[in-house]
Amino acid sequence: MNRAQLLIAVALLTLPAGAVETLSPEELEPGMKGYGLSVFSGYEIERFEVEIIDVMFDVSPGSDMILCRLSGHDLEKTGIIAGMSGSPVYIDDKLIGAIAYGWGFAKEPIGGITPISEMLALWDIPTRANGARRTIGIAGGELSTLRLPLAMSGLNPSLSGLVEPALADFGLMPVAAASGQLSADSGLPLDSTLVPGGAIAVSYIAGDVVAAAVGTITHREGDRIVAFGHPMIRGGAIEMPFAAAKIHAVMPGIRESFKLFSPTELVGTMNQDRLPAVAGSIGPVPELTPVSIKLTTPTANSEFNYRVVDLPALTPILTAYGLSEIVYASEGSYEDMTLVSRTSLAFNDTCTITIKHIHTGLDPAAMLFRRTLDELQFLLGSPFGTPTLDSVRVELEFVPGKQAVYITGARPSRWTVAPGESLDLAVTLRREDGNEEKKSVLIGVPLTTPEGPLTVSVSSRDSLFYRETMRAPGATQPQSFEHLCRVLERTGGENILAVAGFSTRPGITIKGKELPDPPPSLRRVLQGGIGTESIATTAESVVFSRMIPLDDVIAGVVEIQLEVRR
Amino acid sequence: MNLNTLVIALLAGNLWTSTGIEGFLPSDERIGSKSENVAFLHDGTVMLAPAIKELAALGDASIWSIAAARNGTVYLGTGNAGRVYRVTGSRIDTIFDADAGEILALCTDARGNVYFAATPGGTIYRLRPGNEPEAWFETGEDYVFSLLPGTGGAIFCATGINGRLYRIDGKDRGKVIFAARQAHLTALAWLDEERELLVGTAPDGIVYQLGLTADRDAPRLSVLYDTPLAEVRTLAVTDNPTVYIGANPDEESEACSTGWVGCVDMDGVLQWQWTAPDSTVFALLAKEDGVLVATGGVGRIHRLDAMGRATVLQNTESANAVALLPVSDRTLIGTTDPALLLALGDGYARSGTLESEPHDCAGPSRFGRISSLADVPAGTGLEFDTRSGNSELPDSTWNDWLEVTTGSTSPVARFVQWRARLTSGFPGRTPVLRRVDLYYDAPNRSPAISGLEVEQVELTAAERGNNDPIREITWQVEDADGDSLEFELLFRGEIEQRWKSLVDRTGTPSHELDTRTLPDGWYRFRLTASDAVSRPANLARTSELTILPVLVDNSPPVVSGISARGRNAACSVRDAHSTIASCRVSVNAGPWQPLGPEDGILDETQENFSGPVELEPGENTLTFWAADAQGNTATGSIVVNR
Repeated sequence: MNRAQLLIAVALLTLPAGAVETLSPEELEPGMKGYGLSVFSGYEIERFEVEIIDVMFDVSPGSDMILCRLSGHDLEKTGIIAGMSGSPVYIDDKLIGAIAYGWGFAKEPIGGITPISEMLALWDIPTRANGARRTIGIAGGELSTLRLPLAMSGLNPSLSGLVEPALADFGLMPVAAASGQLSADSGLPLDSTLVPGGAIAVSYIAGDVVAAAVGTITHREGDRIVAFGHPMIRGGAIEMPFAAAKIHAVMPGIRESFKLFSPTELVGTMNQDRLPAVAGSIGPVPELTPVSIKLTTPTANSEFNYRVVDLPALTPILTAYGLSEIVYASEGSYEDMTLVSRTSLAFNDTCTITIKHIHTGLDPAAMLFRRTLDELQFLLGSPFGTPTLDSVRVELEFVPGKQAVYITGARPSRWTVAPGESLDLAVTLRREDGNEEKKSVLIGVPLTTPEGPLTVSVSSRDSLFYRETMRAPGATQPQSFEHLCRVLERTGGENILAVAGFSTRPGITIKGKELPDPPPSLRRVLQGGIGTESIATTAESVVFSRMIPLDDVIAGVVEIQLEVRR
Repeated sequence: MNLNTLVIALLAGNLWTSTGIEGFLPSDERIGSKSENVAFLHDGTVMLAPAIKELAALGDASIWSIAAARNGTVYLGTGNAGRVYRVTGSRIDTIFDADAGEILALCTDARGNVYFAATPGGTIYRLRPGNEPEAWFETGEDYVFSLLPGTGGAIFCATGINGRLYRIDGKDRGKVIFAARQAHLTALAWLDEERELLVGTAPDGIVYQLGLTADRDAPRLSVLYDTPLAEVRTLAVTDNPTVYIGANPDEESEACSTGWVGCVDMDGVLQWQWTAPDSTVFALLAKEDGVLVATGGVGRIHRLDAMGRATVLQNTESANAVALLPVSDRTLIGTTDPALLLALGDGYARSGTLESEPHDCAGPSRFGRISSLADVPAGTGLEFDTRSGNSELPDSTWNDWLEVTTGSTSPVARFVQWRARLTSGFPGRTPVLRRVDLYYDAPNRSPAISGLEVEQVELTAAERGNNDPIREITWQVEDADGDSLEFELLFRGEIEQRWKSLVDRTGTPSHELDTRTLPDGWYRFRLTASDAVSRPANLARTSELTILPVLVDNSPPVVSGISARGRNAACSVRDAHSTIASCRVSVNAGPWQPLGPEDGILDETQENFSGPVELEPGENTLTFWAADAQGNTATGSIVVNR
């Protein structure tokens, strides 16, 4: 137990515990007045006024919503503030629920309260520790739920433009939060923060990169808490760390206002993320997926480490964000650069995949973000169960300037070739400045090459892979998670000049494995299995392939057709 | 019509005869015929097939390869999950599972080791007795088609798609000893063990002969035989030695669409060849008196004797029979779709059935006796059933099978089918069926007259004055029952009342009419066709056809009104029945000069002609000649002075 956890444990002993007195929606009447609690600055829990407008029963099956008007604390000006989610509301000092709903551009601070009985029911649902299944998570709150401010360190405009759309689908509102984690022992009054009305930050990323969503604790009994009054990403049985939070300021906005905050050290685990609330316990902090980055630039070598939550729907965005954030923080993105990445992903204690990319141009960090996001979403969203990402290790290397060439042509030394012969292929590469250079590639045509047309494709290895997905979809269609990893490893290599030859002889793919140009008897039998098994045909068969590493990112594809004659 | 399924029309009924291999062997099981446990011999007879027994039915798609250890344990290489099974008695154990792929090659050596190879991937595994399989040698090839042990302890490995032959002398110790220009080395067989190795290839379908005596690492290479097909799939060698080659066409590039077996001697001379009725030849197994052939498309086992004559020995009920292996007194068969392990015994099956294809009697028919020509030794049996129905394919609307021995016959119907049931109480005896006759009484159908023509004078002949009064009258008649027919040809003048017979009771479909025996005029002709010669009078049917009137005109036209004035000659020509076809004039026996009709068209029985002529000074003799449309001619003349 670290010092922060010890302090929390001590604080818990001094807190009042036990069931709270509550009022159900049926007991409320329009015009009833009460108050709510939330933090608007620092750690101080302050009161605001609440008047019941009405109760909307069954707004969704089995769920009610209490409509209310808020006042005090300048809420008439700011409207309901993102970050107030979970603020407890009391009528006659009895808890009725949590502020959870608000409407953007509203002229009055009218909000919706989730009844406390629906929130407390989460404590009766099994957690992962009690055998609940790990889920992917599907989306954020309802249309009118208060958005959760997601404080992200170093959120510059370029990165914000990338992550905002992805996070909006989960009801998360990224806001720049310059500071990292606050130390738990730097005067943090734990006994007065982790209580109803106190600010609570659920951590998505921790370490050298920080991302956390802030809301308010609605109720606490012993070490158990409920908060937010609405879901985060409907993750079901989750395991996400949380912390207390210091509110630096309330940022008034036209559409909506939000709280600027910094999280403290992690102090507990949120283990439920469902429609009426999030729920968790103060105490042990869950394991997070470690991401380590080794960054090499012309001037320095650095290492960074951060950890991301295990939420298959969000882990890809968060990991990619962290990577790009480090790139932006290290080198910026406002000049041409070339970024070489080598990413190793370890899954399920057994499977490791390494993908190499080279990105070049004005904003390689954005390219890195998109590629990492795509690949992690592809892996974590695979149809072969939900794999566990054990660790991420990334080696990044920067080279100033853009390093790119475009394939503009390829001319063979002759157009007709016999099996077993070689020929020179002069590949024309054009640079950014318009200068062209010839790259001579020696092609050996195998002795067993069938007579007839021979298509020669010249491209980057990455582009060749996408050609392969069209030529032999059965071979690139993943058959298992391990196969998916191997298929994905064939991507990348944007700087590798790939010269591949294809005959018009048909081939067969079986469960992801390719049999090129099989003899007639074998082909007939295997084709008989099409439709009954994972068997497909290919229109071409690979005859040869050559991979030639270059220093530049290669763009463009050229195909020529040779004639093979004996 | 199949010559071996004859239908003969009898005086009272029809006879449907089935005989010969083409008459008995169902041409296509989709049309409702099938056989079970019967063999179709090259001489056209049918007998019980060798007994076949299912030893294992796997959930895999294919059994590609079979090998047996000396202790009788059988190993199966399968696809498409790349599994290897061990079969010990009735117990089947999975000893290797590649999850995906094909185990095309499997063999055992003298020490009891089992070798198998995964395709794709090219890894060769070894299973030593009492151990788990171990990766033994990595070829790195896409395909491993064949593994062949040598007496020296090496394993020879035929691969694709780089056409390489490996000799593997131990774990991780192998080398390429031959690289063909063909993509695939598909088959291996010893012509002379450790000395001469045969290698089959695709896509060129060549059988290479590799001499290993001089240099084990660089064999002497020659071509034993170049087949006309794309793929040599399998090889078998007899002790004498004779080489059997099983080859297949590439449907992409060759006209031949079925498998092929060739018998080649040591000199590479093709002694005989056999074209399989099925699409693909997969496996050969040399026997003392010929070779067994496993084929695909229908999944049959054929036996070719030393002369290449084929017997359809058994049907595996799988789509493809792909592997053969002799084990003691039986032959193991591996199949695909479904993957079955079958055992073909030496003795005959205890029972078998042969269903004929449904026969179309062309209409509701009564069925009579079924008889057969057969040898039925003591202890064997041959019985027949029939069934009938009115749809082309037997279905639920058909009547049930009826045993012929009960004396009952299938109900009246258009289609009929027979079933022969062969039985034997002794493995060494079988009934032999040579011919089946089924009598039926189909409804008699009328002859169909499709044409009756009277030869006409062609206009070009008529213009030249050629009138052959002998006209041939021909007719076309068919009888769907195949009955013999008799014809009667009659005529009647257009204004006459009674039909008169020109010819009667002739079987010849033509008649020559001398039109001079008839006065000029229009005549109708009528043909009657009767099958009375084939049918009893009360069942005989007659058809008739009367054609439009035909003109008979053998009288010449009349030339009159001849004149020659100035430089112009003229005449008038008239005929009683026919239009005028042409008119000419000759001056002083000079060449004929055509005269044109004054109204510009030859369309009437009277025409006036005129035309310019060149007259000599003094007396001139003008001769006029005219013909009618039947070729009858007339002349006239005039002498004039200029």
